[in-house]
Amino acid sequence: MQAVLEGRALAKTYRSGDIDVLALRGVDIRVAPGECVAVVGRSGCGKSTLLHLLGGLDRATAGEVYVEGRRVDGVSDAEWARLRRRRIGFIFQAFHLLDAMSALDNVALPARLAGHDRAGARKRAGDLLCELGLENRVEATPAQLSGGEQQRVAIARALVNRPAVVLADEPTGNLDTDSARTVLELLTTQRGEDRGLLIVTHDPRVAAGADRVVRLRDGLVVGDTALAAAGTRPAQLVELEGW
Amino acid sequence: MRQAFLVLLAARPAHGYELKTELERHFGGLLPALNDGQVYTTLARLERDELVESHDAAGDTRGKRIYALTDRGRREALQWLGAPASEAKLKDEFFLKLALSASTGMGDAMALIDAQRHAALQSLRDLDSRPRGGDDTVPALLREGVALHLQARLRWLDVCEERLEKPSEENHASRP
Repeated sequence: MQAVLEGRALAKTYRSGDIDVLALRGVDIRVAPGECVAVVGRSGCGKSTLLHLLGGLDRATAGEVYVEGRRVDGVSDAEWARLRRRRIGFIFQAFHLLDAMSALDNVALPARLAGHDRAGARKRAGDLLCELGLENRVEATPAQLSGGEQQRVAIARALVNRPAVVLADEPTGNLDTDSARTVLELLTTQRGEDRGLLIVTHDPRVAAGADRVVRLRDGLVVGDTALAAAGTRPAQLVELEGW
Repeated sequence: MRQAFLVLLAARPAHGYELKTELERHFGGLLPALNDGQVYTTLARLERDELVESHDAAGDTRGKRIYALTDRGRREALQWLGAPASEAKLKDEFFLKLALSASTGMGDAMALIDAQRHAALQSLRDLDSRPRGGDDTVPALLREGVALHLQARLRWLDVCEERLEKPSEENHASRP
């Protein structure tokens, strides 16, 4: 099956003073349609760099990037911007919502930028906010929302143009346990049939929600493990001594 | 199981099956089903030790017995509830495997760590995918406890991996 997103032999070198820092040293990664892949590893392992290269927020030193089978690492900045608007959704740890706009307008904005009319964009945004449980918060500004609610708005914004793949960078990093759980559940259930999801995280609970966990260390993939589908195994995880 | 039954019986007299299902309910399905034989053996021993007493259920022809707490049983239940459980007794085969693999050089300690990490992630996934009961606080707290244990385990596996990868680098550095 064709991947919705793929990186081949991705490498990235940063110049720091007189030395070259190898952030990524040849990483292969693919996200199949409908698949959720978690990328884990210690700070500095290269996981955020990888997400930036795959989303065109930064350019690789070497290697190839494919979005829905089309090679895109060499395209212009304008073409990358178009791709990000239409085919790639982003979710960040710090939400990055526009403070002056309502939740509804924050979500509708990318749809407007992608060429949808105002009424259509607002309708789609409103529907998504309802699906994410924010039907009573559509007119609130980010400052009036809790962290968990802001991240749900950001999820709606990432999904509004029905992207092929969503890239999430530590999506639960700023949230308490309960909000993180809600956000994670929404992220994984809002995938749709074919949408891929790639989550960079240091939170094992987020990683455990993925279908596959890729581990990076020092810019290399050191582990790639598939988890069995949820709910297919008993979870009798408590044992008492002397029973 | 013994003391748990005493605590449950302090609330009200009950028969064996009620005790079994109530205890299972408190664990929200995280505990494997209790063995019937074990339940009745435990109750017989409690009765022998005069911590509970029993009588036939009124109007029951199947010999169902109702158990009630004695004063002695109540004292033991309270004492048990107030005493801390033993800490840090890690009954865990992984420790043994890791220690032996690392010290004898037999097997592959890194592969073992990877396999254990996968198992912990899978358990965490299975735990979080269980249906959540509405407002049942205690099973929810138990679930959080299990999740935190698994996360500690994963963190510790990372530490094992780091240390085994760079054997005693720090030790060498600190030597004169």
